This record gives sequence, structure tokens and C-alpha cells, in this order.
Amino acid sequence: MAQLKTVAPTMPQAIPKTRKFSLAANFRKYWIFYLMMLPGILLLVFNNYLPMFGIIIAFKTVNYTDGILGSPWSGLSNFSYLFKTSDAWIITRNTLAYNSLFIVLNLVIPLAFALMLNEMKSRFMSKLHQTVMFLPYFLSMVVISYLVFGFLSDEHGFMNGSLLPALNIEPIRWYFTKEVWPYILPLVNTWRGMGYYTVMYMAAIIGIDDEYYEAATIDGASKWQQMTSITIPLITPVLTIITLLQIGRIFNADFGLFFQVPRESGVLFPVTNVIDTYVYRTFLTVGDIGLSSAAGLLQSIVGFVLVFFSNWIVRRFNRDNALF
Amino acid sequence: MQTKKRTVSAALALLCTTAMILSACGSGGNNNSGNSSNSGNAKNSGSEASTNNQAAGDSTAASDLEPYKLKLVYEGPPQPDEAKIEEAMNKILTAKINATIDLSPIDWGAWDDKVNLMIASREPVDVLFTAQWNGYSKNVAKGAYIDLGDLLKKYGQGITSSLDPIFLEGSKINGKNYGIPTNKELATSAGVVYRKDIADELGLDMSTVKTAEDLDAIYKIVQEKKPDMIPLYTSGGIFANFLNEFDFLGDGTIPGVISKNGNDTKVKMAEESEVYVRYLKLAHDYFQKGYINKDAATTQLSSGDAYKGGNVFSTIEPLKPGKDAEIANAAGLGGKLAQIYLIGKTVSTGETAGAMLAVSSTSKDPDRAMMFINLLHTDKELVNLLNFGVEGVHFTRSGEIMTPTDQTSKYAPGVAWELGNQFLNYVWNTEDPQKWEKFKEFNEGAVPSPALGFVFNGDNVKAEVGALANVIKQYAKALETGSVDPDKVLPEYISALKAAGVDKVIAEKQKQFDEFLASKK
Repeated sequence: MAQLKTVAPTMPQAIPKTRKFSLAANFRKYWIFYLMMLPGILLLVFNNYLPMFGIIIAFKTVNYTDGILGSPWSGLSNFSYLFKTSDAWIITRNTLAYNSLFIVLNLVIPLAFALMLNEMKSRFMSKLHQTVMFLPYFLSMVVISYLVFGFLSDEHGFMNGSLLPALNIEPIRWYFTKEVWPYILPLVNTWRGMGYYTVMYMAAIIGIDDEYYEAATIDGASKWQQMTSITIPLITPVLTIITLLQIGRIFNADFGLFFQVPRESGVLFPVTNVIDTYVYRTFLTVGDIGLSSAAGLLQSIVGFVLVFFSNWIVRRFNRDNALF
Repeated sequence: MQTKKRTVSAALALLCTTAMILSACGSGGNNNSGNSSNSGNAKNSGSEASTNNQAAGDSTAASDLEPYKLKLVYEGPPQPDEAKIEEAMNKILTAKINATIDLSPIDWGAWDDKVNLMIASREPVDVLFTAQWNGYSKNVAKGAYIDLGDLLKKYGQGITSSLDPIFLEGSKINGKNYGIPTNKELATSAGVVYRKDIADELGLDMSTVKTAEDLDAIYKIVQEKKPDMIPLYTSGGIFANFLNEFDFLGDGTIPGVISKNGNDTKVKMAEESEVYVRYLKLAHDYFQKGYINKDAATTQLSSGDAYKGGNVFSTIEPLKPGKDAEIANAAGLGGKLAQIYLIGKTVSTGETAGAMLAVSSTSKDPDRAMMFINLLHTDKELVNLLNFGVEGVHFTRSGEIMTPTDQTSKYAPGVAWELGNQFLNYVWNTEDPQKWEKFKEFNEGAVPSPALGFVFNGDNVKAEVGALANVIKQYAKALETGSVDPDKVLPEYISALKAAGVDKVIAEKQKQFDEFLASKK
């Protein structure tokens, strides 16, 4: 308590003299929560912070005889290959454009489904739909790539083998036709992620107090009006946070989607090559972890900046919706 | 009382969360070790080994050595009976060098990925397959393999006495050996492997085939008479890859070649050479005529495996004597394949360093690893066990000739060319009994490339090589399989290569090559 007295006079008078300004006292009071946090913090430190020392790999020419610390420094030369070719523009464009599209699709379509499922009378049917929609999310991209291949295979695929002949359309060589892939990839991504985001939005919707709807019904609001005036405004914070988090990863493409699903078909690279696949292919040929780390670091920095930037924009409109 | 209760529940919560984290970490760990695909077997063979130790302990010099488990990583399809082979090998190895073995074959489809990751993650491995065309020089530059000079002197007498010195000489990097080449054919050639039984059935005269263009008439008949058959199957390149007689100067993944068949020492772009363009056009012609499988540019089924389906008529392969029979045996088509050479014989660093066993710098006992490689070059029983399985189970033998049994398919990795001394191998009854004599003949009279023994070091142009890797992946396969029109796409490809800095890479290759030539004089 003695310590508290010495601290208190420096505090502005308006704020009541509570113990919350002493970390030690705070800890004494809430130690149990800190204890509960400990495993999580340890996990974060070991999984997310310790590996950060690996960042130095991006600035080194690593060889295994000298080890990571002993390898010679190489300045920024590991970054230069990213900007060597016109590919730099293509992969950045693809990554950003696809991810922006995915963010929009992952917002609009699952939200629509969440609203519709919420209006379903039968809880059982609603749960059933949810579960069925969620299933693709658990499929590995390798499996999905074969499902897509089952549709698009040149000779035996469903499209070329059954559907198109039935409609009297000439078979399309899907894996050589780059024009169709900007549609196929978002389709696959939405199909896979839809269930996941629907469940998230539904959880937010279910949290809304029923009294709002009751009041609205008494006032004679239609279902549509209830949706636009109650449901959507009340879940906007959740929508914003999910979107912000996705914006932070806008430079990190879904590797499995862009690598597995187009089956490494070179002809499609102009529309399927993203930063992650570019880096991976380089690593496979050159086998140099310095180059890969450089790309990873760059992606993280840009993502970091983007999160702050978009959060700043959100704050300008509505402080409550912002992430921090 | 209240606080006590709280303490207990908090402790419980802590316990639960910690357990969750630990179990998550634990399962991660399992995944890693699960790679070896037979961790259970490994344990078995481990205990097996320790009992053997006691038995063999007093009889040999091996008793001076601590027991050690060697991990051998090589390219090959994993085999159902792997554990049995490990067990049998352990008996020999414990007796001779007091070691046991963990075989880790990796299939072609996953080889590049897994090995690069294995090296980058510093996984403990003792002996590792490598080759000039598979990133040997890059991995040496990164310190993935150790210099074998001293070890070779100490434990490799069996190798130096049996292996043609040109192999060790021709696989050096900066005067040092980082890999022990397989003792096998020295020359290389390439051509077509085809279903002899089908050709006979259709009455095809294969003797008319002298060049890739001559195949047109043959494929036409195959396509007409056997519409279900794929006349020419490929999962990558065909003519332009195998019939070009290029010397890639130490690393096939980096552009810039000279012709093996001549004296011209000017490094050029393969993509601009006449022979490359000619074969691209031919491949596209065949593709349009429907001779080539439509998914050639995207399939991951290797040509060897494709024969297993029974609907493949021919493939283009790098050839040596008995290659047809090797593929046939691996695909269960014993005696049904034949081969025709479409180009001459040449020798380059690609061959002398074309299949090697290196000792990983993550090996805990490089001495033992070297002893093991030495055994693969000298111990007939061990090599044949590793290549063909247990005698009496996976094959029966009279003299040097093996006959398959009903168990053969349970252990037939078909990778003898990677492991040790091929001249010690037995020969299948469907193969030419004179195979090894023919090999020796084949080695004579081959044209050596002007760049024999030269290996390019790509460190100075790393950024360009990284950028080029993507360009090559984008265009090469589609062009080389004939899937796209070379008249339209090849100029695009070349300009993309130039934009990615191919000229700088070629200039660097030329510079190093000139230095090499000067040092030779």
C-alpha cells in the first residue's frame, strides 16, 4: 500500500484512486488469469516470435557448413530476383487481384447464406445445410485439385466427356485455356471457404438479442427491413474484423489453390502464378532458402503495413469497428 | 476454502491447456518422423540389430565400431517388402561394419520437393542420392554434402580399385569429390522404347526407324489399328529433351549449352538451336495428330509407370544397353519391350556425374557412411539384396541369372543405376545375359564432350537463375511435349528468357567454361 500512496499523487485527480495503475497489484489480483494465459503466451512466443530471428536468413547467402549465423551477409541481393522480370508485375497483380476478389466473395456470399440460413424455420435443416457447406473446408487442396481435374480432365473429365458433348459444344482444353481460370479459381475458393465464413457470420447473427426483432415486428418492419436495419448493422464489427484480418494477408496467396488446382500447367501461369507459387518454384530449382525467406519477409512487411493502413481507414469512419 | 477451490480449478485449466499444446506439438513431431513411412519397422530392425550385434560381436573387426543406424535416401518407389530387405541387409551390415540401415526411397514425383526440403531443414541423413542433372553443384555450393577425398582414401579402396578413374575425375567440383558415382555405363544415348509384342502383332517394320521423323508412319498404323493405345506417352519432354545432344555444363536446370558432339566451345541458348526447334515442331505435329497423350504437359505419371497401364505403345528414353528390359521388368512387361537408338553415343559430365551417392553434411558418422558406399561397390550380396530383394523370396537364381517369383512385385524398385556397382548386379532371365559385357562395349567409342569434367557454379547469377526457373516452368513443358504451337510460343519463350537475364547466365557459364578449358591445357 505504501507504494500506492507514492504513486497516487501524480495521478490526475479526476481519476479515482484505484489499484489498476500498479502492475504488481494488478498481477496479485488477477494472477489466476495470467496463469491461464501463460500456455497461450508461451505458444505465441515459441511459434511466432522465436522464429522471427530467421529473418536474417533473408539477408544471407546460406551455406550449411558455416550454419545460418556464420554464413556471409548478402545485403539485399536476395530480394532482387523478385523484381528481375516482368513476372514481378504479373505475380503481384495476380496475388492482389485474386485476394481482393476473394475477400469480397468471402464477405458477400457467406453473408447472404448466413442470413438465409438464419431465416430458415427448421433448425435441423439449417444445421444440415451448414454442415454440408462446411465439409469442403476440411478437404486438402490436393484432393480438391483432383476433384477439379475430374471435371476438367482433357479426355475423361465430366465437362469434356459428358456435359459439353451433350450441349453440342466443342471440348475445351481447360488446362491450356488461360481465359477460364480467373473464373474457376474464385469458384473453387468460394466453394471451399463458404461454409467456414457462413458459420462465423451465423454465430454473430445468433448473438443478436431477439428483443430487437420483436420490437421491429411490433412496429411492422418487414423481414427485409429487419435484415438491413438490425442484423447487418449489428454484425458489422464482426464483418469488419474478418475483412481486416484478410486484408493483412492479401499478399499471401492460398498456395494450395494456386499450385495444386491448375496442375502446374505452364500455359496458365500468366493467370495462376502468384507470389507464393513463384517463390516455391524458384526454391525448388535453386534450393536457396535465402531467396525464399526474402520473399516471405517482403510479404509479411507489406501485409503488416496494409493491416495498419486499412485499420486506420476503418477508424476514421467508425472507431468501434476497428481492430485496434 | 474459496481460494483453495479456485487454485485447484486454475491448476486444472492450466493442465488442460498445456496438455493441449503439448499434444499439438507432439503430433507435429510425429508427422515429421512419419516421413520415413516405416517408423515401426525401423524399431523392429533396431532390436533385430542389437541381437545380431551380440551374435556377430566377437567374430569381426566390426566390433570395434559403435552400433550405428545409416539412413539411405534415394529415388525409387517405396516397396511393400522394404522391411524384409532392411532386416536382411542389417545382418550383413552388422557383421561387416556394425551398422543397420533405414531405407528411405522417395518417388520421382516428390523427389525434388522432398530432397530440397530435407536438405534445407537439415534432417539427419547419411547417404543421399544426387546427380549432376539433379542439383548436385548447387547443393555442393550450399554445403549439403561433405568432401569425400580423405574418406575415399581411408575407406574407399573398393571403389577406387573397381571404378573407372574417369568417373571420379569427371564428377569433381573445384578438384574435390562430393559424390561417389555409380559404376555403370559411361556413355549415353537416347531413342525410342516400344512394345515389341504390339509391333509384331501389327506387322510393323521397326528397322525403318532411324530418326524421330520416321516414327510418324509407325504411329499412324498404331493409331488406326489400336485406337485405345497411346502411340507415344510422355509426362515431360520428348524429342527436344532427349535427342538434342546438349551438354548443359554441369547443371541441367540452368540454361546455356554446348553441343556434346563437336568442338565448338561457345555456350548458346538451347532454345535458339536448330535441333531444338526441329524437335519442337515434330512434337507439335505428333501432338496434333493425336499420337501423344493429351495431358502430357500436366500429368505426373512417369513414362515407366505408364507402361503398367498396358495402353502405351512407346516412350522416348535416354538409352543404354538393356534399358528396354529394365523398364519392362519394372512395369511387369518382361520381354515385351524393345529399343532403338536415335542418336549417337556421347560422354559428358552429365554421365560421369549422372548418378552418385553423396554423404550428407548432416550425417553423424560420415566414416560409416563411406564404408557403406564402399560395400555397395564391392559386396555383391548386399548390392543385389538392395536392388532385387531376398534370394529365394523375390527372385530365384542360377549362376548370374535371376528368375522372377510371385513375390517379385513386392520388391522391385528398379533403381540399380543409383546404387553402387552395377557390374555386380545379377541379370534377369528376360534380359540379355551378356548385359554387362555389352555395357563395357557401349562405353568404348563414345564421343567425349569438350566439357567433360566441367561443372558450372551458379552462385554469381543466383537471382537470374531464380527468375529463369519460373520462365522455364511456364513454357518448356508445354512446348517440349508438343502441346502448344512452337511457331507462336517459342518466340515468346525466348524473349521471356532474355527478359529474365538468360544472357547474363550464359556469359557467366562461358566465362567459367573458358577458365576450365584454359586450366586443362
